Parts: sequence; C-alpha cells; structure tokens
Amino acid sequence: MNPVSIRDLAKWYGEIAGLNKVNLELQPGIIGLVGPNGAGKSTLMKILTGQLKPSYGEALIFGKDVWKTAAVRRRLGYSPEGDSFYEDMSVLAFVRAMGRLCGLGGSADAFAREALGKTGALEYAGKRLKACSKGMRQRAKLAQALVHKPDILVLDEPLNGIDATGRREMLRLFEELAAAGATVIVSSHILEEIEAVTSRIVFLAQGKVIASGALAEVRGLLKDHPLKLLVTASEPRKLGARLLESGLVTGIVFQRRGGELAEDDLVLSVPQVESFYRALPGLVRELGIGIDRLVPLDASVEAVFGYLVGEEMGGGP
Amino acid sequence: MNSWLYLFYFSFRRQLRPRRLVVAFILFAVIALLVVFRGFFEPWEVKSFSRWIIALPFCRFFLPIITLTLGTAIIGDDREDKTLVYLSIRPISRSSMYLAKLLGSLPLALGISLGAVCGLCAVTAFFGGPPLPLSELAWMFLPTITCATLAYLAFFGWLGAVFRHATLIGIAHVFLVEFFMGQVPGVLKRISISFYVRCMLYDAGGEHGIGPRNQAFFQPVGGDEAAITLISVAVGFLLLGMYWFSRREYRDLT
Repeated sequence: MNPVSIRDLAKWYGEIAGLNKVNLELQPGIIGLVGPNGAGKSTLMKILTGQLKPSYGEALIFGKDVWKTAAVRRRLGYSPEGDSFYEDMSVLAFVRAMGRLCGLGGSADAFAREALGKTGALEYAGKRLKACSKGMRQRAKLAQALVHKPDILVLDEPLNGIDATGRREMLRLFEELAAAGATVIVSSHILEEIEAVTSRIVFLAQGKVIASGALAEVRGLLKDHPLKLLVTASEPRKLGARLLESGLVTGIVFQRRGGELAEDDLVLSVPQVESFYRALPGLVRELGIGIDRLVPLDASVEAVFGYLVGEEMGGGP
Repeated sequence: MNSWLYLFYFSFRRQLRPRRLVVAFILFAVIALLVVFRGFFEPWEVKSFSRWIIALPFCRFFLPIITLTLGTAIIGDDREDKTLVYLSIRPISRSSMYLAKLLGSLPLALGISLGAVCGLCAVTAFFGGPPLPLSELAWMFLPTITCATLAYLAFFGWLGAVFRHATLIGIAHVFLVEFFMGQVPGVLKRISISFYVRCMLYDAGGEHGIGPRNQAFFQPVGGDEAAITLISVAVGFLLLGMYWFSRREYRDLT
C-alpha cells in the first residue's frame, strides 16, 4: 500500500478550481512539489493533512481517508507555510505540546529534544517563540512536524527564512528521513534545492498535475523541446558536422563566452537523448577527437517546469 | 485519549491569559464598589441584593460578558492567532477537539462566575450585609449561576465556531436579545437565556420575597423548568458546535 494515494481529487473555492482531477501515488522518499503561486500546492498539502475537505475524489493516507479518519493523522507531520505560533511559549514547550497532542504522553519531552536536535534548534530550546528569529521559528516549526516520528512529512516551503548553511542541513535531514523510510513531500520555490535532494517531482499548474515522476523521464517526454547539451570538444566543427549528418541532433549553436564566439563550445539540440548517448562514444572514437565537457543546459527542474508551463499555456517557455 | 486529555489541559492553560483575568477582575471590582457604596447608606436585604446586584449587573452584564470573552475565544483565539492549524492536524477528531476545547474553558468560566458571586456575597456580608449567613446567601445563587454559565458558554462557543467576528455578534446579542428582548412583554423574551436565569433566581429566592416586580407581565416559568431549559441550551449548543466544527473548513488556518 502506498503511503499517499490521491484519486480524482478536486477542490473548488466557489467557481474557482483550487485543484482539478489530481491523481497521484506517492511512495517513500522525497517528492518535490513544484508550481507557481496559485498552482494548488498549498491546497493539495492542506487536503493531504486533513485541513480541507476535497470537493470531489479522495486523499488517502495508508488507505484511510485523511479528512474522515483522525487517527491516521498520527502518521503525518506537517509544517505550514505561515509563520504563526503560540508566541508566549518557549520553543521546547511548543514542540513538547505538539508531541503530546499526538499522543506521546510522558515521553514527549525526550521526543521534543530529539526533534529539536535534528533541526538544530536545541540550543535555543528555552527561548520564547516571539523572541526567535525567522530561521529559528522555521526550525521550531519543522521540529513540531517531526516530534512524533511520522511516516509522512508534508513540508510547505520549509526552507523559507533559513540561511544557506541551515538549508543544507535541512536538506540533509530530509534525505536522512527519506532513507529511513519516510515519505517527505516538500514544496519550495527554491527549485535548485529541491533538485539537490530529489529527482521525483510533481509539477502543478492551475490546479492540475501537469507532469510527475523522475525529472529525467519528464524531460525526456518533452519532444517539442529537444534537450540542449553543451559540449566542449577538441574539434568541434568536425563533431558538429558528423552529428548533423547522423541525424542525432537537430541544431548546433556555438556557445558565446563573454560576447565572444568560443570555437570549442557547441550547444546541441538533441531530440532523442538515449539514442544520442548510446551513439556518441562510437562517433568520438570514429572521429578520433576528445570531449572535455558534456553538460545538459535545460534538464533542471526550473527549465523543465518552464517548458511544461509553456506547453500548458499553449506556447513556449 | 492521551491526546484528547492533553488538548483539554492545553485549552485550559491557553485560557488563563492575564488580560482576560484582568477584565474579569475590573468588572467584578466595579460591581463590588456598587455593593460597598450602597451598603454605606442602606443595609442590604436579600431581596435588594438579589435584584440590584445579582439579577441586574451580575447576571445581565458581568456573566454574559465574561462567558462571551471565554466562549468566543474557544475557537476564535486560535483562528485569530492562526494556530488552529497545529490542532487540526493532530489525531483528534474535529468534534472531540471542539469538546475538549470547550470543556477546557469551563473550569475558568465557572471559577470566575462562581468566584465572583461568592465574592460579591462576601463583600455584601461585610458592608451592611443581609441577615443571612454568607454560605446560605451564596448557595442560593450558585445553582442559577452554574446553569447560566454553562448555557452562555456553550452558546458563545458555538458563535465563535461559526463566525469569524463572533465577539461583535456576541456583544450585539447580549444587548439586543439578552438585555432588550428580556424586557419585552409576552413570550418573545423566552428566546433569551437571561429570562430563564431570572426565573431560576426568582424560584431560588422565593422565600425571601425575590420575584418579578410584575408577575403578569413577566410570566415566569418554574425553577426546575428554567434549569432544565438552561441545561438543554448548554447541551444543545455544545452538540451543535461539535457538529458545526466537524463539518466546517477553516481556510484561514494559516
């Protein structure tokens, strides 16, 4: 049984569709939720955590409807995007209280300290939340989501307000949790950071899932947007001519460096990525040239998302 | 069950905000000053104390205002502070969450209302008090105040679950329905909680001559009937609040 199953999910706010026919099966690991403002990420997360009722369809956590079955929320941890707290409580008291609300009882204190340790917030456990910086508050919010060791973590913009070092620590923590078998659903507008920890992405736009799966697979499906590969070769013209002749590339552009044409850098448009990678070593041997660098230019989450949204809107990115 | 019990305790602790206690103390002090002031000029009788202190400023002003403050805060505080999200994601059903929160505010509501009525009886006893032992005087009012507190708290709790600006609606209700409509002739006043509170009060103090000034105009119901009505109102609005809260989506959670 998948930890998260979403079937034909729709959420309407009056006449506006917050989500429309969303179907997803999420397995343990890190899943990135990507989409512009108003795409439906927060609505999806709120439905997944039982805060909102679907207008149609269902959101199942380990096979149980999360809106109707309160007990299943014990297996969920949620860190909301908003910066609201019980301001007069200390960080430790807040996380401990949230643990006790999850049924931890007398062990809540130990669990709270452990969660604060994981999020790097233990050193200011005694500080009142209203006196904490944005980064500290973000860590406290993450700690309350982790305190009861849930199987599924839903994190809405968890890296907001955390400095670069802190963000790296958090991403490492998400990786550790996923490695331990948790399902970590993360939304973030910092796409490179999502990309750094997962290749499993759900792309949302206008309330719909426009693509989901491994990033490379999704990129491979974008037939109208051949992959752009930067190649630095010892004899670029020779290589370019051979690639065009073989039909492995549909276009070649010389890469500019600081306004100058760099003779040894080529940007290739590759329609069939797998065929290209299979054929390239043979071609290089045949031509007797060397390749110093081979870098995809538009396979990042951001680039793929740009293409997807462009297609969804009926145009280019 | 652990979670529910903790939510009950947590809600109780959250209600103990100094600002709220200060408001209750100021209102109590104002009424107590009235007791002291009049006690200097004229000794209190059970009847006069009941009419001019308990029935009027206490039951129709102090009690509704205090229960309004506490009742609308049951859900309203968390909505206003946007902390309801931290409760709604816990493994506690919405209806039992509402129950825990309402019950969590009950000890404070009862503590303030019963404490205040006992305090006023004590102040009266000290300043020109009626010829009745303090405990007997207080005991005469306690069942009425208990039922009234339960009914008002459940009503204002429901109001807080339904409306975002429940405090304003509650204040309008206190003045229009509880105060104004409670004065009109006929059966219309029976939709106000204050009518049944006064009926219980008149029934409890009947032997001391406590009663409506105009029986035919007021048309009271019996004390038992009034008590049953108040308890029914409390249970009814509690169940309504639980149902409402379990069905309602709060989009302004965060």
